[in-house]
Amino acid sequence: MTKSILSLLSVVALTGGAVAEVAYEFVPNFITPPPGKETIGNGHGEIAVDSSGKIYVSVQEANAGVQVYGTDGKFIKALPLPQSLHGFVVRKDGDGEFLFAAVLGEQKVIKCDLDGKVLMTIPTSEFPADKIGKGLKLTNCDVAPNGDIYVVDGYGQSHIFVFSREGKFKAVFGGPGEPLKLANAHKIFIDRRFEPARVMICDRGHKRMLHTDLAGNFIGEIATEMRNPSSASFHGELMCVAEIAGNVSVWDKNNKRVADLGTAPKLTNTPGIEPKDWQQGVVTSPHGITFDNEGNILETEWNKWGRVLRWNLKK
Amino acid sequence: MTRSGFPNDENRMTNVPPLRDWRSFVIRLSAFVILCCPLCAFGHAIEYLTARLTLLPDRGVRLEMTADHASNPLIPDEAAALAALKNPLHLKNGAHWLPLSDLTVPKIEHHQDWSRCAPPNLPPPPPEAEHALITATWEWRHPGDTLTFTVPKGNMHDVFLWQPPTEEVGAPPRWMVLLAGDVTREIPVLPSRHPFWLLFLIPPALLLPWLVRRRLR
Repeated sequence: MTKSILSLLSVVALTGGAVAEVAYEFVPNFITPPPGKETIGNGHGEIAVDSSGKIYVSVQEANAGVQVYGTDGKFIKALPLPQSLHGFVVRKDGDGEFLFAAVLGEQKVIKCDLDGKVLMTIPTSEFPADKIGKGLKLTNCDVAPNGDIYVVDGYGQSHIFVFSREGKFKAVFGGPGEPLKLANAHKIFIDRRFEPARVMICDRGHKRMLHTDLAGNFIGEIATEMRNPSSASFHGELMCVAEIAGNVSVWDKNNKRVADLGTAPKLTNTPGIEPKDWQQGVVTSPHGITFDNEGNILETEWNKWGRVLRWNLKK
Repeated sequence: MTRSGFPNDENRMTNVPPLRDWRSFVIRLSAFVILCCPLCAFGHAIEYLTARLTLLPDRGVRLEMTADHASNPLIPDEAAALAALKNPLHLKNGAHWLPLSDLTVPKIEHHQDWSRCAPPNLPPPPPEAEHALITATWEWRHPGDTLTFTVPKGNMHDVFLWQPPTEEVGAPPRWMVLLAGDVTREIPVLPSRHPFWLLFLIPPALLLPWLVRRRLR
């Protein structure tokens, strides 16, 4: 029985989407690594797309923490950013488009232009001292419509901090206690599919996703019993989710799962799966994810060698 | 679709002979870990319990489960680590599931030796990572022919279950990740070294010389 389910899932994953409402097809070997490299490099980060379609992937390389690819997947350049950009987003804000990143290894948040020039830093000292605990372990950030910057201490106490556009501390919510009781809130995102926008939290320790309002008031659970949700992205009314234990899922605005992609036949959650064991269209440990501007899905993995997969929206 | 519909690993967790040369294994493991370290510039937090399963002769089983209260974001302190190790897995016992805590009292150790907790193909945490490890070891003689484990539903801690590599050159360790509700395949235990039916041969074997001598007289 188990083998039948496995076969069915594999076929579904390799051939495209799962339901009629939305369908995807896998694009093999989409990314062309930087010259001289067979893979993109140690991955433990995020992937994002700017308004022109360029793709940004964080890798753990000193002073070259983000690689930029064209819409065709060909390497363009590396940005001189820290190597521990565990989570980042590319967002339009005010009169420009910027990269906002949580620098896990340096306990800070940075805002930079799309050439990698750092324009603003939110240092550790700007966080409330009583919430720092043994040290901040910042895993992601996002920007609300009013310019407020939301930051999560996902490998720490799972507090969600709110800063003004200028980087001044405003508020904090979440954490391990009531009412949200978060555990390893790996990444958070501002879900602009709703008006007013909401905070979408990947509460990975509880294998669930949930919504709060922008003040941190609980709205509801989106899904439970997931394969450890780690990252998400939005396009139109859809949300795609990277589940680190081996799945990519797509959800509609009513919290209905409408597709599963690349489902791994065995549960994963390790960066040690070597390129020789990679299978086309099957994920290992999804860690970052984004829609591009056409609704196609790009996913990056927690993997020592670095890996990016792509599924195109079937139209 | 819920996660419970996903298949478990059925290919990698198989019966392996016990380690006969423990020291050799430790040396090989250490060498591999040292070689791998530079590759792991900045690792993940270790967000699961590790469970090292060693099958011993005569249906012996040793299960060493480790919680890290320095690197695991779900385990903030020692008390939480001990709580996580209280009931991390259930063992199939006929038609029922038996909590490990009901099986035997585990031996508890505090240490910092990550290399004994995870296989070399699971990259170690970064060199600068702090460890505060607590290992609970259960050891028992298993009455059945196979072992089946599950992570109790509602348990927050995923389990990385693995078996050490065999002496076979290049044989990789077997491993699988278990989330709450997941069940392993049946893992065969090692049979008794002396089959039970041998006992029935002892009296005839002792009587045979006596019978032969008597006949020759």
